[in-house]
Amino acid sequence: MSDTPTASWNSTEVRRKVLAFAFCLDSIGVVDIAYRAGEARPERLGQMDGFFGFLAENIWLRVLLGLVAIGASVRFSWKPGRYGAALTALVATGINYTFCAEFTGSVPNVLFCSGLAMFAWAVTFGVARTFWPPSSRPDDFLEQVERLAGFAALAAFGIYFCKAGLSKYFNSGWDWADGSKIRSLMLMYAYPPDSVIGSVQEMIINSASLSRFLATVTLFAQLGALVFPFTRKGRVAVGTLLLGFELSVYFIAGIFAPGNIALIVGFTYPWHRLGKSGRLGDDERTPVELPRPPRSRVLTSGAGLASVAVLLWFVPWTPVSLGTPKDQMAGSGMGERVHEQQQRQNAESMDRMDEPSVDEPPVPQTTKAPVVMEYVLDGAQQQRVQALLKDVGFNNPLDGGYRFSQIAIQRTSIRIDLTHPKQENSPAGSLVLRHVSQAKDGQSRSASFAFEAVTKEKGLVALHLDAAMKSVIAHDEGGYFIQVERAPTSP
Amino acid sequence: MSQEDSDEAKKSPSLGLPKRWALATAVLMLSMVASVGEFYPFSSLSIFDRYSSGQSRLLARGADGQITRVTAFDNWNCPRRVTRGDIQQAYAKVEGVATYLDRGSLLYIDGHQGQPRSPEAVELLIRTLRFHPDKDLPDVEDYVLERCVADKVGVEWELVKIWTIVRR
Repeated sequence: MSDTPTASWNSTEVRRKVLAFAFCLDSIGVVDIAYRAGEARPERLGQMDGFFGFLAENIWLRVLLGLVAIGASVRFSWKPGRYGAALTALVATGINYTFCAEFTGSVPNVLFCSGLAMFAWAVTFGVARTFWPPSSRPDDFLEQVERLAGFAALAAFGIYFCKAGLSKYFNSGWDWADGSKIRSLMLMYAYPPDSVIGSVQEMIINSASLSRFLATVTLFAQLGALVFPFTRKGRVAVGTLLLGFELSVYFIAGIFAPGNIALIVGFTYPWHRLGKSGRLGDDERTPVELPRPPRSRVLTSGAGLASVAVLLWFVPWTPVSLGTPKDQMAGSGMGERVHEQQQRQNAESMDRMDEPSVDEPPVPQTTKAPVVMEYVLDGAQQQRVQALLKDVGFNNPLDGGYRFSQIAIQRTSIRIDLTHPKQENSPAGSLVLRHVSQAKDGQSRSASFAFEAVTKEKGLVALHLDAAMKSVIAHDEGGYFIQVERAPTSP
Repeated sequence: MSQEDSDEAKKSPSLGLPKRWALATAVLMLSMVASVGEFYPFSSLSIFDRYSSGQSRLLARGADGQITRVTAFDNWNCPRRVTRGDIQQAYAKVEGVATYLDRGSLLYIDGHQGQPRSPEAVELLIRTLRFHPDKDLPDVEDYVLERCVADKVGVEWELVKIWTIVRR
């Protein structure tokens, strides 16, 4: 028999309660999606048959399943060894989860990490009960097996993140960590740049090295989650990175995984020390000393588990597939795969929208003219254009009382007006800047611009325009134009 | 358990039964997660796992050159109706990365057709920002889908400032 610490809180018990709490959070998330499924896709009501059709018609049944899952999870948390309650909770949440997948066409796969850990916990008890017949079980059998289950839960938790990292590696290689993906996601979920999150996004988008650093840390933290059951220091280090990752995914991309956050916080740090017995509550190093199980039982159970694991690779169908083979299930899961699926669904609805209705005349087919490229200016560069006039100054009094007082950034040209205070509304002269590709023979130009001085006056006005031209030539940094394809002209 | 056994246990390497069990569980779970697919409590976990070098978005450019969301304009009047096919074509043209968000923009334009009271020229374009691992600023590519006129409402344009970030 082992020396089980008689602490007020021990680490395994804390782990069990954290797991149950995280599971409740995820179950609430799943039941919330199940509850709102009818609102999200009303067209699916009446399309489903069988058991899920019955669930679709009875919203209260989905809520009831959620309550059963939460109740069973609380029961599991109360005492060691209640793996029946864990299995009940898993089945109830699993039904709602599968319903969500079938009904909405996407899988809420940020809400299953706690389920995976609870499954590992329950399997440990199932295996232990098979390995050790009642006659050979020591008095503290449940406590000892629960310590094993706690480690199994850590392993399952680690696999959840590690598999996410492996998917990135196998589908994108180390290129995933070059930062481009993270920057693209920032654009996808762009916040106003004036907000705190928007400023952070802006910083990441504008920095290749920062985005690469964040992507690399993300990838290694996910792959490194495998260390969770094996080293404590590693657990704290990787767990802290994962916590940062989950929080930033929430704040920056708006994807909230409450169960994952609870599990990371609960599994990473030694919360048992907050109990009355402090460090004495640490039962992680207490050896598990169970008698050697009968060899035949080990072989039978081990072979059974291995067979199931191997056979699953050859099962071509999964229940959450609506008859879609596994290798064609690109549309399940969060992220781009979910977007692909949503796009397919959207495409269907758009196709329906594109079909001419009774009220709407058919859209005439147009023939597109050959494409023509042109250079256009982005309007949001007033400061940069003003900087071009550095040598003569913008709104700066010049000889004769003139000043360059107006800059008009148009679609393909910039007009800089020279005005006199006595005739503010009528420019004495203008300097027009077009893309350098439009320069004619003998026309003045800079790296980016072709110049055209527009004035009827000579003398001072011409001199000022000439000075402005020289200033633009001197301070032309490039990058003012964007090349675009000209819109097709309508017939 | 005898004293000898107990001493032996103390001398044994740190990979005791709990860690060995954790290792076995990890192998089992990895195998199941990878093989089962989407069946609770398993999942393929392909979260944002595909590399992409950039992002495209359907946006509007007003007469002042400012890039905005299409919702910054109302009473759209275009020479022809812009369809999902046009957007797909534009994505293909610029090798852009599609986003489901554009569907909402297209639905908005469709639902806000009309005769503008003070018409302003608006270009409907697909802007693609493409990143490079060794460059801070992305390449910007615009593909103009259609030139329309519409009433400027002037809301929410701040939300797309991030798309013009490279020009600020």
